Amino acid sequence: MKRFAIGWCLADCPCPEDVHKTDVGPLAILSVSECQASAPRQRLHHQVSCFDLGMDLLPIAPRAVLTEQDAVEGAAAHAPHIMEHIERLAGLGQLTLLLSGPEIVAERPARGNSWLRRRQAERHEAEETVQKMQRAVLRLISNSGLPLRILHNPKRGTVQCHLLVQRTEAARIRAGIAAEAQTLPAETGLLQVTGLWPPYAFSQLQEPQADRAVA
Amino acid sequence: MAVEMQMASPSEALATTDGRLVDLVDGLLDHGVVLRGGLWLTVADVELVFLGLDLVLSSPQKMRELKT
Repeated sequence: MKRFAIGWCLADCPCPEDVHKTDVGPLAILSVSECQASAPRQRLHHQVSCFDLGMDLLPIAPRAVLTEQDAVEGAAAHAPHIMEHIERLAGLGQLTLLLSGPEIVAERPARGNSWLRRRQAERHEAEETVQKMQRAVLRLISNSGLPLRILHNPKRGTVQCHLLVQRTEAARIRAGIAAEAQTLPAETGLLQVTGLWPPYAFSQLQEPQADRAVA
Repeated sequence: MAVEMQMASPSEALATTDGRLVDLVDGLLDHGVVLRGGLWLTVADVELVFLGLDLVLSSPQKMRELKT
């Protein structure tokens, strides 16, 4: 039966019944049968189930399609890196904050130069709004000293922030963010806090040095 | 009045129809381990192009099988 890999963990970890574990030395490859994990969201769902069981999992990007055999080969080639990352991320999870700006009311369409000027002004305004929102998000977490990744999308008027937190501290940090959010004005938009996720935004193996092909 | 705030667990975020949370979950699908590599294409010692590669650990045959 074909299985898709969803991540790596240490060989001695227990895992959910519907997840298959293949030990490769000190590492284990977690995989799920094709019929249960053909879509990226299904793979993400299984990763979350493993994480919720308390596993320290190094997740493969759900959109990347790796078979179990591919992951075994990956483990053989990158074992020290994978081990190092699993150990580094042990006991940690990801809280994701999404701040969405207020909806922009579309004006009546104009023509020619005025249309161009209006589009330029709108783009400028969207950039400024998102910058303000980014400052607001940073204010929310400025005292936490946590590792973070911030992504902003002026086109959609959103700022997303991933925080790497101790599993045991997640509730306290969430409560701290909620308390701090009370100080943000209503016009900042809508703040959505999700998690605890497996540490997706912090699970990247270092890039190997570029190879060279000479013609 | 303070900013409106909502909390969601991963299972709630996965089941939601709220477009913003759907986008958030879609964004997570691209995060996680992707094995990366790079390649310089060089002609007569002149570096022409750098290709950033997401290293797919799969044979062409397997990729074809997955697509079908």
